[in-house]
Amino acid sequence: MTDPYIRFDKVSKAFGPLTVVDDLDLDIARGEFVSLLGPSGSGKTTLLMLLAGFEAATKGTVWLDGKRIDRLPPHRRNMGVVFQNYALFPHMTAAENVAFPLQMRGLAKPDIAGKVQRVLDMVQLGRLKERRPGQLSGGQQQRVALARALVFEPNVILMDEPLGALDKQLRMQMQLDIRDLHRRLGLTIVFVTHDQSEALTMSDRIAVFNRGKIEQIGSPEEIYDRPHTRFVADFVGETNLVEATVETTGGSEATVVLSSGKRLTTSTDMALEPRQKVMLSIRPERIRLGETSAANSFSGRIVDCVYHGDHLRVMLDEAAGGLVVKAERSGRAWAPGDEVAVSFTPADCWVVG
Amino acid sequence: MNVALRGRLVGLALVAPLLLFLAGFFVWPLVTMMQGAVSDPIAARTLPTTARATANWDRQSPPTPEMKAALAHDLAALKQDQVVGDLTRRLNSAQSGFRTLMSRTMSAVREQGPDVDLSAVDKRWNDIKFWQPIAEAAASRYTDRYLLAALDMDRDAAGDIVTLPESQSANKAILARTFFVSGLVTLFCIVIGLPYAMLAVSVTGWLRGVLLAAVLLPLWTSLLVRTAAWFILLQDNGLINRGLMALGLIDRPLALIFNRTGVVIAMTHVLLPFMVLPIFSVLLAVPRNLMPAAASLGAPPLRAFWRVLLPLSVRGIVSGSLLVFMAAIGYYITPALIGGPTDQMISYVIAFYATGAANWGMAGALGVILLVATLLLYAVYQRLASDKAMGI
Amino acid sequence: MLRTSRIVFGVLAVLFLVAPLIAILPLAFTSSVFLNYPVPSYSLRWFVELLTADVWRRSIINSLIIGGGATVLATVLGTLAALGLRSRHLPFAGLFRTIFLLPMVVPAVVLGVGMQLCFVQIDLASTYLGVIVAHSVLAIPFVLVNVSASLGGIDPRVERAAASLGASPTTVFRRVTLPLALPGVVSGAAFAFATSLDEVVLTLFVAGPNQRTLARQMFSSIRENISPAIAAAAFLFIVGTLIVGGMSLLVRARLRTRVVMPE
Repeated sequence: MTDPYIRFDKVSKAFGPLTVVDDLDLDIARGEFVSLLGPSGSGKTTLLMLLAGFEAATKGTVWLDGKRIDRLPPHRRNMGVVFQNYALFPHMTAAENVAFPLQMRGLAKPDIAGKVQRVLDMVQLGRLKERRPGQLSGGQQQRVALARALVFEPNVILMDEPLGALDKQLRMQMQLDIRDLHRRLGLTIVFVTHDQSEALTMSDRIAVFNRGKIEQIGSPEEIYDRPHTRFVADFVGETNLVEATVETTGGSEATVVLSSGKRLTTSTDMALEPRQKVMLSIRPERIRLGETSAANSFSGRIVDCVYHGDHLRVMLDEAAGGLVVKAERSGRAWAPGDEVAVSFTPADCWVVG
Repeated sequence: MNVALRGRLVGLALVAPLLLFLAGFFVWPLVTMMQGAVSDPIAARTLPTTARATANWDRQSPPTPEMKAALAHDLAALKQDQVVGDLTRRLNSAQSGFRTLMSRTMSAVREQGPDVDLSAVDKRWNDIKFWQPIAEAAASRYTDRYLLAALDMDRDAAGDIVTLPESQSANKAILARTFFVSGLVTLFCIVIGLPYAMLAVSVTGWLRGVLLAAVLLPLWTSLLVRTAAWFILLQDNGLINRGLMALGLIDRPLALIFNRTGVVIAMTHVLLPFMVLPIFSVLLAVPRNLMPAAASLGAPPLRAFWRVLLPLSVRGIVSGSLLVFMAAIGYYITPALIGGPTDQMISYVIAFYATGAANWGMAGALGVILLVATLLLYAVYQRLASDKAMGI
Repeated sequence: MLRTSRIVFGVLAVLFLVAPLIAILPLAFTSSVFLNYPVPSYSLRWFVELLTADVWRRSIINSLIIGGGATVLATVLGTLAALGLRSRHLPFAGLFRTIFLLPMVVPAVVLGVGMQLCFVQIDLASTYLGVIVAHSVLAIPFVLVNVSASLGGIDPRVERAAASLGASPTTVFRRVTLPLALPGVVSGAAFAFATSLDEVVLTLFVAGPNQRTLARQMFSSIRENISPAIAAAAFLFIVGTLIVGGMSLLVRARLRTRVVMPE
């Protein structure tokens, strides 16, 4: 494996008695889009600030392209940061904001003007370059902030919840735009968010943070389909968590028994022991109602049924493990009190430890 | 009765008492003070015949017998010594010599009646030098002489405005001193207040509480108490001098009181809160991540300060400077107690003319200058305060 | 480096702001006749002097009379005007507000000269009423600002809610607006009292020897015969300000709890 582009080596950060980043290792390759995902206070923003140089690590080292950078002041790290709420300079126009990093690097005036125009055109703001941030909409401000972070061709782009202040539609548009820029320009992007769908949509890899540690790092598919811990399963997407006891093990499959006595076949990548207590994660949209085809199949009674537009949310009784199911609307019309067959494959019944 | 009209009447009824109160006890005094600056009624009131007789005099040819007769007639009508005294003082202020001339003339008029020949009483009555002020003063109830004098100017015999020679000019120097001291205090307030406000914004929690309390505490403390405190500290054997001597930095007490140093120190202390608070509130509104943003874009700390934080705090600095300067030019108590005789500012001179010399004309004229300067500064300040946009 | 200089600057600046106020306090308790350090021993002799010497005792009483009068006058006029300025239908509201705040801006000496000239004409010179009126003029802006601020903080929806629940405009005012504005009135009154207590310049112009206030007396004794009585008076000043400020905070707090939890 080639040397990583960015490397955090046993990095800790404490504010007084509070440890926010705890002995953390993380490697990021050149050209990779990595999302740092986690609830607030999990240390993801602090890690970004350590990388940008706004905070100093209590312990450990940070490397960029083989050079140690944790002692370097922020203005010499050459990283483009897109801040939460953008941090545009309110007294400068859009063009002046974008020109700022070029002026700091001592570029000649005509070069600056040309680069500013090109990058503003790229984010479709060429016509609004003389406006001040106060005269721009949220989405336009967001694009100015992006242009300002891109214009000086930094080593890395760091984004701290950059889309949090936008409404839903605009946010989805910007997600696609940023993903597109990443692919087109071959940027290395570290993206902090607490929105799991944002992370799943955009990233090459996702690092899920919890209490200053990375719980799991992997591709969006790995994180969603094969979560390593109960926390990851619960935080990324919606899931049913069910307690069970291991009965027999064999390769990547195991047989477990629920407290109700039901026997299920599960998938796992852990080495399990018989009689071990485990937690299962079963995604609501992977459960089929009214079918008995899959390996895990039993019957239950519907307790409640809620209409959600594109799907129905069906709650099952305790005998069926209290599972929540996302049922397609095209199927049968379910009603509370109905007795129903429930089934899912071993691959969709994942042991999270 | 509709709602709007009713609301308007109720509103007016509530505002009216204060409006009347201030009209009577705030506006009227100010108007009276300004009137004092331009009114000169004594000669016009006491010498009506003379005023008519000199109305067409060219002020260059010798006085006519009619003018002398008219003056003698007017003087004979003056019964109260008080009025004679006021008139004499007024005339003497324009031309010295009137004191003896008037007392001699008055006794002659009172002995011999209104038909006395003034040229016989005193030959100075043939001199146009003594007639010019009379004609000037009797012609109008209003004068610009106080306002001119306040700026060290006067009218010459021909009525043209001339600047007084250095030896007779004191007011311009006082105005210059007032603006200089106020400017110096403003400058010191910026030098201390700007970093102080930046510091207060950059910290959080109890530290910010302490920094703000340190600003608010003096603001709430009596001005007199603060001035007294500085009086105690700045004395020759006060705490500051003793401390410096104990540290071996000086071996004789520094002169800190009854001079400009003391005035500037004490006034800076008194007015510093008015600089810190506006800058603080402006900086507080600056998003916290702008300076990190500037750093991430490659700006070293000093350049980031110069390009980002300073332009954004300009509003607060300007507001604070206007407030401090405006308050400083009107200051009376601190210079009066801490300053020496050559450190007194315009307020002191106004008070001196009003209470010491009973010269309402000069007090009013200097008052008008101070008032106009203050109101102009206030208007600019208001403009800034209301003009929230200011390009941001 | 930067951090150290920040700390040093912060400490020095705080010291500059606060130290003078603290330095004067112990001198109030000196037994010496000199207003200076070191304090040879502590005694209450200068407080005794304040309360027994005629000039000082008289000036304290005068300050209380005049401060009380000015507080009442300024609070009543200022509160009424603040309520009036709140009306959406009032014409020239901006102009009125500017005029009402001007006494804060006009240099005291200028106003003093004018007042001296005018008060003579209407027999207010050298009277208690004259000094009370003069102090009220200065205190009114503070009342106006405080009351306006607390009126501005009232959510108009609360008053509309009261009206929709069947309260007449006067009832809305009496039961909703006034109780909510009261904290502002209280702090306005405290400011008015403090202003009057500290006023020297107008007092110099309009008061006679019989209306010498404590501030006026301190002013002339700093000028003429400086003694630790000044420090004792300053001590009383600070304590007085703290008491008035503390009382207004207390009243405000009581008012607030009453507003939050009606009986």
